[in-house]
Amino acid sequence: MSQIQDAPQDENGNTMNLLPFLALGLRLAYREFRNGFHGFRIFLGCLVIGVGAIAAVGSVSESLVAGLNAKGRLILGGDISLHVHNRELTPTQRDWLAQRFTLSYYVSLRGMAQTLAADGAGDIQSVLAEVKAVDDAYPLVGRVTLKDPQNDFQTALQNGVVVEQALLDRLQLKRGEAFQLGTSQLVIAGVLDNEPDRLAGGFALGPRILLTQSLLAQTGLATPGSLTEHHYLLTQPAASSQLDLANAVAQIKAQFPNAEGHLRDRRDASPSLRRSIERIAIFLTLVGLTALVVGGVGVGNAVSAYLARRRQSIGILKSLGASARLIYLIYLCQIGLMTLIGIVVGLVIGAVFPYMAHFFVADLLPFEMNLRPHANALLPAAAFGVLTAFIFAMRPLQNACAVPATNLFQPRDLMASTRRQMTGFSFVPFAFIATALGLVLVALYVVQRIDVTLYFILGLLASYLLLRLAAYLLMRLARAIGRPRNPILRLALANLYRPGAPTKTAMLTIGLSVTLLSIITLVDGNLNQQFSKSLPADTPSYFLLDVQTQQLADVKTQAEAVSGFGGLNAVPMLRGRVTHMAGVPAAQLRPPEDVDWVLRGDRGITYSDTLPQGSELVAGQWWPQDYQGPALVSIEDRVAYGFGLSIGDDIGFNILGRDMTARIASLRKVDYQNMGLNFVFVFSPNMLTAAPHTHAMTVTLNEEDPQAVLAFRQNLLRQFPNISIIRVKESVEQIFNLLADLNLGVRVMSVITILAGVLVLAGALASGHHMRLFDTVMLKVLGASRRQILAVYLFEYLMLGLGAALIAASVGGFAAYLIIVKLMQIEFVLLSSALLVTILGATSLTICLGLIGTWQILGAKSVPVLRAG
Amino acid sequence: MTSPIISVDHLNISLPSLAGEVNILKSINLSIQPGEVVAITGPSGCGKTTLLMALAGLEPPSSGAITIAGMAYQGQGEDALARFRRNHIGIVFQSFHLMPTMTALENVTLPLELANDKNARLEKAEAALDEVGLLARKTHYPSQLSGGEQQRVALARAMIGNPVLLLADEPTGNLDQKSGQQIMDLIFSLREKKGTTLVLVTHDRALAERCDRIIRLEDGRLVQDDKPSDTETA
Repeated sequence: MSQIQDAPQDENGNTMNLLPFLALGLRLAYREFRNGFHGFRIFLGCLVIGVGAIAAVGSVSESLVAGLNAKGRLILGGDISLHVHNRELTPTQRDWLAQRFTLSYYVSLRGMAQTLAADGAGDIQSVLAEVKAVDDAYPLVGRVTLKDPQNDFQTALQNGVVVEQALLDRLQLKRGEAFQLGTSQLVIAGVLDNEPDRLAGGFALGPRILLTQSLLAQTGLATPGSLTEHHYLLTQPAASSQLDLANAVAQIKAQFPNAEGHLRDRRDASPSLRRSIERIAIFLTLVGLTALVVGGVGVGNAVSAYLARRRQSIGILKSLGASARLIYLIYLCQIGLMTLIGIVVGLVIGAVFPYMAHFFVADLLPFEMNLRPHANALLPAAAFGVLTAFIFAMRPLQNACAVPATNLFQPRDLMASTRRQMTGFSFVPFAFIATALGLVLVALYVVQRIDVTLYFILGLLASYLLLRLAAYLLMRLARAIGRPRNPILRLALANLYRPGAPTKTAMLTIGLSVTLLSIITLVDGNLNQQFSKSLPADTPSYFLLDVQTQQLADVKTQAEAVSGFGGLNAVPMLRGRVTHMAGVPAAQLRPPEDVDWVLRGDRGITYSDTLPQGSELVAGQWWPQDYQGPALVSIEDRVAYGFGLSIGDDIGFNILGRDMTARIASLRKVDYQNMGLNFVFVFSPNMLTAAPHTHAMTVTLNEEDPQAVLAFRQNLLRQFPNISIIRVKESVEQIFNLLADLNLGVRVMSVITILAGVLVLAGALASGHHMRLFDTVMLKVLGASRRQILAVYLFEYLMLGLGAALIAASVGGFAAYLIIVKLMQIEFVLLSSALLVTILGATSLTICLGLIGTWQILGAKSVPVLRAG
Repeated sequence: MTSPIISVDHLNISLPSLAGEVNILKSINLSIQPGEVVAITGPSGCGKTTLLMALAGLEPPSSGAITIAGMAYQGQGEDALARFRRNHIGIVFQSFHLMPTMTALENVTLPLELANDKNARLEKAEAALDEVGLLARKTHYPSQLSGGEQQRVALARAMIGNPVLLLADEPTGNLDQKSGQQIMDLIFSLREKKGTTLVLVTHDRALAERCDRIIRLEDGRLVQDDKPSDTETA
């Protein structure tokens, strides 16, 4: 008889089959639930918040990406897009394409659009514009529409150029007026309303100008060496399938072996935008997951509290012969049902969220969101919910099975007997490990990056353990302080460590929320400082692009003539694409995500006789002056480590259509904070000096003399209309604004985490309600005034909130330091005022939540409590 | 002489308390024959209830042995004891302990469900409720029943599996005198009808007098084991 069976046995000792066993468990669970779901409010709240947040983020992201993909053909401007930097395809290559596809060709480049200076004097307004010179076949897909419905795009192009409204606003021009682009004056013949393939162009620095290729030729902007991109848009017959498309792409790859990285098709029309959406979604999902973990603490507490109220039922079942496993099953079913309800509500919120988001952002989006429930977003959220609920419910569930039936007899002061070991629960540790592993796998599936997932989990685990330790130490400290003479302080201290004290839960919930908030506050604050206050004094005033070799000396003279001239740096600039590294073709390289951009399309490259400004040699040697040997290259150390490259390895490039190989001669550490002209790849000059190219320049002027800074720009605009002038201050502001937009999303998610924390904390404080009620009544009976009782709780919550917030802020501060210094590699500034606000906020919140509960207790009548015992 | 249904040999039980280890039962020896009706009496805190819990297999001995209906408790796991209890023992508590979320009929059916007894389960439960005179209240929840009615449902639940041993812990302790009398009459008549051995803990001298034997405990020791007429209560 000593062998324990998993399932109940009938009277003959036969093991009950699994199905009747499950049916019995479900039946009894249902009967327990018939009278309502009391005690599950916090449980449901925590799950709904966590699952809802993750599902909402995932759903919005999937709606955006699916919308993007659904309009792939329109966004790309064709079924396939092939683009080439700085050169056109040869006539043979072009003919090959034209014989197989319907073809449209356009050139894109950046140029300064400026107002006309009637008499050569006065202020010139200017803006860096995105220029697109199209052929007659453009657009192959969709329609370009103009703001004036009477006006037709093709007709407008015959009469001048079509521009975006932003250009008119910046230059204060109207339709029919002219502006200067390069060496040509262009008449605005139409205002752009919709450009179907706008997104395929990626991040735009300025407003769009659409014109014919013959007009572009007149501007003089597209000269050999200038940064132009040549796009070939291709369409297949309307009935062509995905297979036809794949075959066509394969054919083009075979015909143009160097097309890798320059070829896109409608299945993934805007990979950079898709990647951006996915990355933001991953980050927000991790914040949401933190909310779910904080909520998980509440789930565990709620299950414990619920099962504590079921002690009598558990005892009765045991006294009637129910096995511990059956009891486990009954309450597992109940918790499962509650989890299901919480998850369904959370998923509904998540699924509905994109519709609400669409309502607000539809006008801002250049494409339609694909509004439908996305399984890819909802299923991981549901999985997170199930796994989190069970991992936190497992321990209370097992504890419930250990409840002895002896508590049904007369009440005793003796503790429950624990001599008899519970058997049949050897599966619990395995179930725990499997659930934890499941959580990691789902997180990995969502995040798609092992390192980020691991850092997140390790960070969470470390925070959890640290906070548990901190709670233990706080309780020990409160005990060690002993018994102060002041009775209020004595009672408040005792409340921190007495049985059933909320210290551990409060520490975890306040702690995890404040840790997250501190990280976000500090990272956000440091980035803000980086982009606003802490711009180095020698930050250039202007970046100049497309400076032709023969213009270099004149521009230099102009700059040096400005009073307050602080310096000038000019470097040659070409574009090239990596074709292989250390003998491995680029297509076969699998670099880590932080450096994979190096292989994406063309990169700016330069050559130099000397070590460039802002670089520090960390390995190898710089080539001698007038080096004439085989091509050498110096690369940034971070990229070399990422690709596993070392000195002596060969890297293959395709520069302006020509393949060449260079040997790595040195590795450099690059300081990007100097806002200078930094390049990953710097070549020895001998191979590249003859190639057609332009120069990039930085000009540093005294910013305290804005008139002089502006005058320099005006002079350049007049004399060198082909040069693109970028004001560094404005670019930084643009990035700063972009960061601020991203931060809004992060802050919304952190508020959700705090909401989960508040809910859990409120639940934890409420769970001690009965004990506090009795204490309060006893204190009143003994003559304590309301004020004194309130002071006891005020001190208790103050110590609890302040202790947790201080520790959590330290943990968060350390994590933020690691992110800023190790990951972002920028200087860390401890923003003490922001941290102080976070700490005080968390402490106040704890006191408020606690006192709200205590206030109700203070109003309770004494007699019923004393009668109930 | 038939073999005893309850055999307790040098039973000691110690339990932890905030003040340290407390010896609740000290070297108890006891033998009860099938069909006997035994009252356990003694002052509060003498270990009566602990002995009852030990007989139910709910409180493991610190040392000594308990054998009920041929089943030695020693070395048995919790689930094995739960199965034994399900099939052989019925318990009636002072506080009734009905499942508050189940109707009277469901409460009575519960032991059969736990034993996977599908044979006319409902009919048996209705018959058991009828025996205690509460068939008309079968759909009522415990909160809709009086104390006496709740205890009758608890008795029906304890007896439905035809246990060989019925353990009752002060079954009338929470009832008024009239309801208590009715309950005891029911317990005695049902156990007589089914030949069940009855062990009950009571403070009620009159109730103890109705039993075949009265065992008296003091400070965890069995100090008296006599027929009712011989017993002198303190």
